[in-house]
Amino acid sequence: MDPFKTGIRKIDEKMGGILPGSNVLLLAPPFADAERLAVHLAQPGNSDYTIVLSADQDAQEIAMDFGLPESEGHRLWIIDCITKTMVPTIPDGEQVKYVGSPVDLTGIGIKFTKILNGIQRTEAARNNLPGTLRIRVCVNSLSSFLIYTRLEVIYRFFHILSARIRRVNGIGIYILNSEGVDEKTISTLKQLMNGMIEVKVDAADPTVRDLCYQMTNGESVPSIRYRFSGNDLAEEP
Amino acid sequence: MIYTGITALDEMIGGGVPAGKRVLFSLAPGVDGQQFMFSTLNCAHRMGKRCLVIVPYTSAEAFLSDLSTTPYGVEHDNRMIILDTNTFEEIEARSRTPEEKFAAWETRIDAVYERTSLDAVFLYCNRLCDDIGTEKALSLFTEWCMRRGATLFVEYLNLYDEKHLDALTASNPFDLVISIGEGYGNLLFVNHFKVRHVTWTSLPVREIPYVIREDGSVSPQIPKIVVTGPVDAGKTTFIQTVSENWVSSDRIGISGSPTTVAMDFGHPLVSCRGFEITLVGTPGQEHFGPIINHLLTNATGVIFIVDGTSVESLCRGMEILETVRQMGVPFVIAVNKREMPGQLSDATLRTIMRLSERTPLSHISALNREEAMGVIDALIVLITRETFME
Repeated sequence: MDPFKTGIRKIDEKMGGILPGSNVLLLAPPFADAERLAVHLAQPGNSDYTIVLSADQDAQEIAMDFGLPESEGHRLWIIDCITKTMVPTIPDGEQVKYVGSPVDLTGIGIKFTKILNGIQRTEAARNNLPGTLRIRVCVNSLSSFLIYTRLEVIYRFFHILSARIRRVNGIGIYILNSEGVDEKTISTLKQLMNGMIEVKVDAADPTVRDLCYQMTNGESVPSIRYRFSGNDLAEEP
Repeated sequence: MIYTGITALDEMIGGGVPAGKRVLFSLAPGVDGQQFMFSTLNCAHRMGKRCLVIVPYTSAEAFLSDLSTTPYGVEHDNRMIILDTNTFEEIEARSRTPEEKFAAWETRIDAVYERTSLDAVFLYCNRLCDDIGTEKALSLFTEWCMRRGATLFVEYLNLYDEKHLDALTASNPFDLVISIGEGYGNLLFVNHFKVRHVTWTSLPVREIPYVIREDGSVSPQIPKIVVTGPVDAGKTTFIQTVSENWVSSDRIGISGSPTTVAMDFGHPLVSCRGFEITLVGTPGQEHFGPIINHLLTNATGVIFIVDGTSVESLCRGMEILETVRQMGVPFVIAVNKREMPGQLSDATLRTIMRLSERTPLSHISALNREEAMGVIDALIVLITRETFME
């Protein structure tokens, strides 16, 4: 199975992208546009599907951020953990599922399973040949889940979720605010991952970011400087 | 008694949950199993029970809205009290230590009880377990319900393994523990439930497959009952008699009468003991041996049909019966052609087939639907309630 392209030239050229079955921690300080970077990495390719598990943004905002054309709308699936706290009776749609709150881990797990089944149905309905689905999962964000639930429980839950992502040869991108949690939390959550993208804000120019991508197998791409222009990521020379 | 509303489960546990018992539904992550608690709540409410529902992870309105998307929706009337995320946050804000929170919850449910005596408590416990500790949270409710004589139903998301569940139930006195998990043998598209422990009846620990129907209801399954036996015993007739939909692979044989050459397939007219059943019929001729063995693979149970008027037929089927025995699959014997003269006695049949007294054996006419369904019923009892396989 081919690696998942990241749309970041240096990573795609050196490593081919993110390897199937990878879970990648996206560690970034506040105001470093981690969400935009996660959207960029999780953009579904021509044959991919994206599942966003969100405790930070509602489904509408997520759909806007991804900005997929209508013809590609079937590639984005969302588990929205916040809308139901404001609109309790909102019903599930085919591609958008709602859970009671970010603490409803039972509901999140069930909706994740339903979405995987839904993607398979979509593939079958589009007469695509049976094969391995290419799935990108974006968790926005671990920091928010940690506000509501103890680290041990979050670790167990995402241990199971990340294993499912590995099993389906997908990739997972997990946003974590590096300044919102302590070292112990970061090192605990790192155990679930086989890659990490660390983002820093350039001290001299706050619109420029610097990311470093490291896999647990030793491969790495150090120091990629970039900035966002709208939703487009532009790498600095 | 409170029914779970899942007929197959109620049948297995002797009708339902007796008053004052404590029940734990343990869910594996990602498994669509919330319907077990939903269905039980729906039944309790329809039975006129006064219910307290504790849903710390969401609002009462959202909970009822979720329930209404399944066949188990309930009306929020004065027999249904819901303590939701607002109660949780209120207690959270006022109490600092787990001990204070424990006391605050106890005071809160006492206050509910003083206003309305309760028949049943439905607890979604994970957020409370996270907040005040799993053992404390569970003991708060098991002990409270024991004191007040209320029946307790707990739904617990088990993020660990079955050993964790054993440890949990060892320290808390549950009368019924049901674990709900993913897959069933080689079948990944169905889930299963397992009665791990029950105090008021005797049941073997056995995985029972189920699916969630389009409408959101639970449908326990017996995914593969294989109907086998020697040629001309009446296997195809049996499947046709009990099935609403069936497909037969009969072709005219050398003898001039139809014979099965591949596989028969049927769905019974009604579910049996709350199970949806699929029947698979094998050919009976000896040269189809490899197909028969293949069709027996992953069978949940076997109906072995013989012609009760023919010793020769019995002897021909012994090889197939031996294969079934070696597979360790529960099986029952249907002795067909009851209406014909020259029936062999039970003793002769058991001797020839080397059957113990415990193996169910019924004399039937495969043309009689009631008698044929009786055979399926006996097999389901064997699969779900007996200790055949152990």
